[in-house]
This record gives sequence, structure tokens and C-alpha cells, in this order.
Amino acid sequence: MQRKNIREVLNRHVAELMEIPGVTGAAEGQSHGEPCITIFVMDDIHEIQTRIPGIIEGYPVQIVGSSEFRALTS
Amino acid sequence: MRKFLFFAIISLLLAWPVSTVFAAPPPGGPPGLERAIAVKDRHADALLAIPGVGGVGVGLGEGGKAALVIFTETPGVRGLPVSLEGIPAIVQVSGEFVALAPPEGKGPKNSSPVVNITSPLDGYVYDSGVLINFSGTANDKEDGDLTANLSWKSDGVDIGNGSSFTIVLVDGTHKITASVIDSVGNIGTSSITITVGQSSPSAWWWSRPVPIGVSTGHPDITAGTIGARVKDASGKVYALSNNHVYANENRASIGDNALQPGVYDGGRNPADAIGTLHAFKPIEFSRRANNVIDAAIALSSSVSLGKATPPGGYGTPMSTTATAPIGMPVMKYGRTTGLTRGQVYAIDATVNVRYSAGVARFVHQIVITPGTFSAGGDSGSLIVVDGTVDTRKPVGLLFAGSSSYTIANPIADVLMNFGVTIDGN
Repeated sequence: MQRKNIREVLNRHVAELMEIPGVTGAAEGQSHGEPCITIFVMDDIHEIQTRIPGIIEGYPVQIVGSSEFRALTS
Repeated sequence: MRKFLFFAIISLLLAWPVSTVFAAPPPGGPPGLERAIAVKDRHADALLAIPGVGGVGVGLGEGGKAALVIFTETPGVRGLPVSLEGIPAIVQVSGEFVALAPPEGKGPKNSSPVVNITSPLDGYVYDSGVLINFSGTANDKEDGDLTANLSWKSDGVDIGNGSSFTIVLVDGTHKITASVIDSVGNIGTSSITITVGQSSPSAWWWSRPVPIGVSTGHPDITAGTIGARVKDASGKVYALSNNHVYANENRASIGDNALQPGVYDGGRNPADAIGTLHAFKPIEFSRRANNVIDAAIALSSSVSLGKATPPGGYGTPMSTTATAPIGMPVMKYGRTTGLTRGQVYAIDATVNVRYSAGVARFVHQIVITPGTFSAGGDSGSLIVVDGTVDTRKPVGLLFAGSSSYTIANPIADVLMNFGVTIDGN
């Protein structure tokens, strides 16, 4: 079965992913050269990853610790 | 089939450095195998006591019958039986059994140590006379951690040893090399280039026209970075930075001064103004918002504002923009970390960003690694392509980050919002 475009898949799920406490971002990424959905989370990855699916519409989900994103003034 | 089995058993035994017992014969094995194993077990110690015998096993002899196999280190070992308890014995010259380490000169090559310079960052610019911290690591596959043996040189001259040290270097550009040698003489090395003195972003703070990539800000904020000089259709020129740098997170009024350097760096209002706030895109502070840009422009002039970075930076950006695919190498020049290089890690990112006014969600963002690509004060920096193709074409406007990632707005959205283009090459 042909997978849907990753951008469409991401657009469809981004709102629900961003609602998960501790998630700081969701993006189109790459893992081992293959497209994946990258989820940025606060540093306690193990606690959060139980609430994030491993695959979304055929795309693997990569979870990375980012800590909080902040505006970068001095 | 029988021949195959024979070789299979022999190969197993050859790979075994000592006399070995099969725990159980293979199911459906050749006739007499079980008995041969029992005989071998009873006589193994005595056989191995004979000088020149390196191993004892069981294989298949003539007619496919089970046989003892006696492995000898050299041909012509004396005193070996031709049969034991009616089981024929075969002598195989195997040479000496050794542990299976790769023989010298063959097999996997001894690898060179891997050296990693963790400080300074490649391309970093320092003020004159400051203590510079050098640190790095060295690891070797065979010898382990060799960090303590690191030898550091600046332009070929020894400057230090080991994992870390500090030193003052004279003004100029320096090639720093850290190297280590492992126990078999393989050399591992890593190099970076740093600049001390004349090219520091702070050295240009009060010059006019001021270069891009240096300190700037609204009078009520700390400091950010001038991303680029941009121009509109009528030829007016503006300094491009973030809303949170020039418009103080929506709080500023059009016409407010843009100072250079920013207040945090000693800029005074109005004496150090290089322009006035001309336009900004309001940020919606909400976790449900669809912000795309954090950007503002300040009307300036070519007398106050140049279009290139200080020397040691990437120079003048190109006027034509590029889009950033995952993996693209990029660079930026900013107030705090100067020239740094990284690569696009993820695209079309939706991220929550914390400001003093609250958290704002952004969509369609570019994510860049490594974490050292930017730091506080680099907000507003222009991110350009770093490569032979499309080099210095703008891709993003830096505005946020964490310890491990930098976030940028797609530059095309920024320029389209204000109806301007990059005033570059």
C-alpha cells in the first residue's frame, strides 16, 4: 500500500501530538536516511514516549529530547 | 551428505582450541558416533598428554563410520594409536591452536584514534587578550580513552596537552590542531580555525556603516542580531531582525529606535540608533496559534548599515533565497557565537516557543543542529547555505532554540511579509 505524503500525515496529526504534555515540537525528519516524523520532547523522554505512537500512518516516529525552545535574546 | 557432515564436524573442532565434547550427537548422525564420542571422552586426557597433540575430536572415517580425530601440531607425531576400543583414529595435522585474534598484517586493520575538539567551536571569534578554553577527547578502538595524551598546536606551535587547558592567543586567525598517537603508531587528528581580535563581532559594534551579524535591539530589550540589510522596491534599506528584538514582542511602537549595539552591550538611546522600527509581524501568544515568522524591519540607511558580516564571517549573503531540505549544511553569523556551521535536522516543524510574554506556537519552521549553532543574543541572525552549490543563499531567520536545536523561520515568508529582498550579491 502506498504511503501518504509525509507532510499531509504530519498536518493531520500535529495538533493532537502537540497536545501531549511535554511535547515541544513535531516535524518532518529523517532517520537512517528515511523520512520519519520527529517529535521533540522535554528531556524526560522515557516518561513521555509511552504516550506517543511508534508509527503514524506508516511513518516511523523518532522521539528526541530538546528541552524548552526559547526566544534567543541575550 | 556424509562428506558434508564430516567437514562440518571437522570445522567445528578446528574452531575449538581445546579437546571438546559434543554434549549430544547430532540427531540422525552417522553409525557409531555416540560410541566414538564416549571412547574419545575416555581417552582424551591421555591423548592430549602426548607431546605434539593439540586436540581430539570425532569425525567420520572410511565408509562413513565414526572415527576419532587426533589433531597434531606438526606432522610425524609419534605414539599415536590407529584405533581405540575398535574405533579407528585419524590423524589430522592442524598446526597449533591459537585464540582467534586477527593475525598480524591480516584481518581488520588496527584503527586510528578518533579526536574530537569540543572547544573552541570551529570558526569562533574571540576578543583580543581573552583566555580561550581548549578541550577535546580522543578515543581509540584498541587502546580506549587517549584523551590525556592529546597534543595541541596552534599554527604548528605547541600550546598544551591533555583534555583541557586555557591560553591567550595573539590576534589573528589560528589553525588549531589536536592530535594523539596510539600504541601501534596510528595518528588521530582534528583541526579547527579560530580568530582572535580584529574580527570579533564586538570589535565592530560602533563602526558605521555597521556590518550585519552584530548586536542590535529595541531600547527596552537586551540584545539580538542584525540578520541582513534588506531593501524595498523604492530602494530604501532596512535592518532585518526579529519582532522580539526590534518590536519587543509586539510592545513597541512604529518609529521606536533600533539601537546598535543593543542596550545589553552598552548601546545608548538615542545616540546609538541606526534606524527606526518600520514594520513588524505581530506574534500571537497561544499554543494553538499558527505563527510563521518572528520578524521586524527598521528603516536605516547605507551610511549606518552595511550588507556584509565582519571579516571572518561568510561575507555578503546572496539576494536569491533557497529552501532548506533535511541535511543541508548551513551557516550563520550572530552577535554571540559569531560564525557557526550546522545542518538542517527537520523541516515543516510545529514548535512551542517561550517568550517573556508567554508561549507561542509556530508552524512550518526549520530545525537546525548542533546545539552550538546558536546561543542567546543570536536571535535575528540570517541563516545561509554553506556549500559549493547555492552558497550564501539565505534560507532562514534565526529566532529561537534550546540546548540542542536552533529554530528558524523560512526566509521567503519573512521577505514576502514585508515586500523586501535581501540587499546582497
